[in-house]
Amino acid sequence: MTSAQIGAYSTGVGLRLAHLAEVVADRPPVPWFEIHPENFLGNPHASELLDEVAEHYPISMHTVGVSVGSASGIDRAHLKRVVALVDRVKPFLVSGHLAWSTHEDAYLNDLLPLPYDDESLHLLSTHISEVQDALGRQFLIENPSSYVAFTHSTMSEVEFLGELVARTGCGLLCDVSNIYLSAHNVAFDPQRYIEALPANAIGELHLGGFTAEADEADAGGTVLIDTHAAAVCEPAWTLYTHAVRSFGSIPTLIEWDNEIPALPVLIAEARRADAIKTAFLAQEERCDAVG
Amino acid sequence: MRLAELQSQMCLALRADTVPADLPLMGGRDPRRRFLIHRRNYETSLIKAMMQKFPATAWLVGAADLMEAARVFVHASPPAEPCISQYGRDFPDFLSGTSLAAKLPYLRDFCELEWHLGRAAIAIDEPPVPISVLARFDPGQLAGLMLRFQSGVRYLHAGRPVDELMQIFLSESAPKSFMLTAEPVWLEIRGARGAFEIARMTADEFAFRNILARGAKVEQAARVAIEANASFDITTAFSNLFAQGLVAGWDRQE
Ligand SMILES: [Fe+2]
Repeated sequence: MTSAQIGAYSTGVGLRLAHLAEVVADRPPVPWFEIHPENFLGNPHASELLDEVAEHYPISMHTVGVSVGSASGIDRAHLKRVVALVDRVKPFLVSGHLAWSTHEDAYLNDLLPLPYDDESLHLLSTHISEVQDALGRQFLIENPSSYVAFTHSTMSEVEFLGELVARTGCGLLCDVSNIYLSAHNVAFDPQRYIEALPANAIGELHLGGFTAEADEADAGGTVLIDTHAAAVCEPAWTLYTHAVRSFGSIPTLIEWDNEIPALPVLIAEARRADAIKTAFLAQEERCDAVG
Repeated sequence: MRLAELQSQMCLALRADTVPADLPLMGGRDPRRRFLIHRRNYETSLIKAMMQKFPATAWLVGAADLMEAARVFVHASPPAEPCISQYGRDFPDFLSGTSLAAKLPYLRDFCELEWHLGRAAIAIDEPPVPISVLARFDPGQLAGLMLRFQSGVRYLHAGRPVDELMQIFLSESAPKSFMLTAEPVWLEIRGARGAFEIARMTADEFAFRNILARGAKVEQAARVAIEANASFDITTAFSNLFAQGLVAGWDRQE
């Protein structure tokens, strides 16, 4: 199933282990699910249940472990396992992160930031091409949530992503909440960021919740932490509306990974995203009719 | 700074208490402090994973003490791969070297039992190999047979009856006092698809099954069992493996 066939209106939900048995038993009205392969690869029981889910729902696969930004190389053994799962589950999208999370033989369980310069660009282009060759399909790269940047970066994040698309033919997963959070934390204009992304490369959108904390180094200031432990905040919904205007109606995902609520709460968030897309498409149709 | 060097330094900073002054960071008033958010993400996500994996051990030693032990552990032994469900295999050994084990000499065994229960519960059973498969072999060939056990079958020898302690945790009915005698137990843990059970075994049968489960040939397992008990009944023990559905596959070396 292609991204287009998933439907312009549909908003999926991240499938976490807490909801797995419920989804298998009750088949809730969710148009598609996104999974992290790392939750299933070491867990045969969950993996078996995933096969059942995949029989009834389209799946998008979002890896947090194929570390395309690692200078010590990508984890090829892990990539091989992901490829095998992709072959089995047949997701309509496969994505990863503009980040690194492995260093030599340690997995650091976080998405760590990269400087945006020629060396990183060359490394990531090579690694993304290798991943796409192994998958035999396009890989989508997600923009990160940033707390810091690097003084020696020679290009902006959005320029870097555009170059990766041009060099590798990869797609982009645009996490709207990450843009809002990073714009707040490292100071850029989030709307301009969206406008500068190559719209044709966007294959999926993410929306997730974050947590504001007092910035220890800045009295009265806050830093936004990408906890995925809360509902999507109002400014992120506003930015999402802007993203839909820029990119059109793209499959969108509600991410909620910590303090996970009942499934109907996630479905309600998904319906809100659908309503924004529906309103945008209705407006487009009116414009077409007038035009 | 080259990327490899930068990532080495960042990796060290994640696992140590300080962020090097020459990391070329920007963002906020104090970028080095900001970087500590990543350190906290690393630490808290893995501590949370350990607390979810070892709730019985947390019950035994106290959640705060186990969290502190897990904090030291995650910095000393980061995961080797991204599937966090596999992480924590070394935690029982690690705990045995902490001050917590000085107060609870059975802590390692108890934690190890919990690790096995967690692994057994996420396993899936394969169709068991029927005993009729043995008809293919001459009696002399059986000695060279190697059996593959169901992946949710595990063996643990403990110096004290930690299985009783685990049953107390699982039944959520802690007695006012409980004396853990210094009697060894030989345990078979068996689980699949969210369920598990713990069975006690005799030392000889444990020796037989434990070494078979690790890939030894039948003749080696028989030797080990007879060393444990000269009157060990190999024929019955062997057929019980099949009758109890423990065998998922087999292999034979000439
Ligand atoms: Fe995301």
